Amino acid sequence: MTDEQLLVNQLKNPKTQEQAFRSLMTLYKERLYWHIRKIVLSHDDADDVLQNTFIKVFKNIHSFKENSKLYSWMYRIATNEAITFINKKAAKQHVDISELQHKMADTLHEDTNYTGDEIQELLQKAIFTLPQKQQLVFNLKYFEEMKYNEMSEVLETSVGALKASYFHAVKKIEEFLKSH
Amino acid sequence: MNKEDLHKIAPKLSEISLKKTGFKIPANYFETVEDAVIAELKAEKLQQKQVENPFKTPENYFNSLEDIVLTKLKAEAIQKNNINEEISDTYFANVEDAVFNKINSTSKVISLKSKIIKYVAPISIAASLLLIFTLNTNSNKVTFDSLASSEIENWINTNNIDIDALSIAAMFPEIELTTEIDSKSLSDDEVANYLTDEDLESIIFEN
Repeated sequence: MTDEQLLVNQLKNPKTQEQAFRSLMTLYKERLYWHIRKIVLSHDDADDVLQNTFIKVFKNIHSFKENSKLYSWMYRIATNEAITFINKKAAKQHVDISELQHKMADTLHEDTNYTGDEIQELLQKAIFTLPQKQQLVFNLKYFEEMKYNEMSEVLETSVGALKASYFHAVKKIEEFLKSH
Repeated sequence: MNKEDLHKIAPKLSEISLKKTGFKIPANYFETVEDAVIAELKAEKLQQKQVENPFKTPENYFNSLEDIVLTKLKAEAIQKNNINEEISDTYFANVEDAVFNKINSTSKVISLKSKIIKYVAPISIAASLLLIFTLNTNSNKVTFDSLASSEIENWINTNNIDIDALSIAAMFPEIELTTEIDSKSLSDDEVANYLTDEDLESIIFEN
C-alpha cells in the first residue's frame, strides 16, 4: 500500500480522519494556495477558496474513486472552486470574467500583498488576455512547472492538447510583452 | 518546453524570473491554514446540529397535506352553500312576522268566504229553493223535510243555475255570521278535502 493509499484509508476512517486530514492539508496547502492565487490574485480571496477546497475534499473523500492521484483530484477541486469564485465575483459586479480580470490586473499594484515590479504586472495582464483554459495551462506549466501527464489528470485534457495550448499561450504572451 | 526552447520562441518572457511573481502572503499564514479549515468544518457541523429541527411530524404528513387541506376547503364550501340556502337575506328581517303568523295560524281561523261556501251557501240555496217551490206550487205545505237533497240538486243542474258564493252572499246581505266555526268541530277529513279542493296559495294570500 502506497503512502497515498494509506492516507486515503485514514481519511475515510472516522477514527483517524481528523489527523489524516491535517496531514493532507500540511502536504498540499502551499501548492494549492499558489495555484488558486494565480487565478483569483488577492490573498483574501485565495484564502477563502483554499479553505473551501479543503472543506470540499473532506466532505467528498468517500466519493474519491482513486482512479487518479489524490493531489490531481484536489487540484481539480481547487481549480473548479477558484473559477467558480471569480465567476460569482464577476456576476456580482455585473461584468464578464475577462473584464473582471482586467480590472484585477489594473489594480494589482494597490494590493498590499503584492510587490511585483512593472514587468511582473505586465506579465499578469498578458496572462489575463488568454482564454480561461490557456491561463490554467500556462500557470501550471510556467509557474508551477507541473509535468504534462500530471496536468492531464488535473485538467482532464490530453497531453498533446496541453502542449499545443501552452505553445499558443507562450506566443500570445510574448507578443503582448513586445507590444507593451 | 524547456528554458532554452522558451528563450527561442519567447525571449522576453524567458527574461522574467519564474521565482519572482510579486505575490506575497501575510506572515505565518501557512502555519494557520489547517486550524482555520478544521475550525470552519467544526463550526459548520455545529451549525448543522443547531439547524436540525427537534420537532417531528407523523410519517407521510407532508405527502398527504395537500389532500387534507383541499378536503377541508371543499367541506367548508359545501357547509357555506347550505347555510346560504337555509337562511335567505331577508330571513332575520321577517322572522318576527313569520312567528306571529305561525302563532295565529294555530287557532285555525277560517275565512268568511270559505265559511259561506261551506255552510251558508247550501243553507241559502235550500232556503231560496224552498221559497221558489212555495211560490210555484199550489201546495201550501212544502218543507225542507219534504224535499229530498237529490231533488234540489237535480233542479239546480237542470235549470243551469250558475251561482257562486259571492253572488249568494250579495243576495242575502241580511245574513250575519257572528260566531266563528270552531276548528274542533271539523273532522280531519273535512279539512283535508277542503285543502285539496281549494287553491292553497290563494288561501295563504287571503290570510
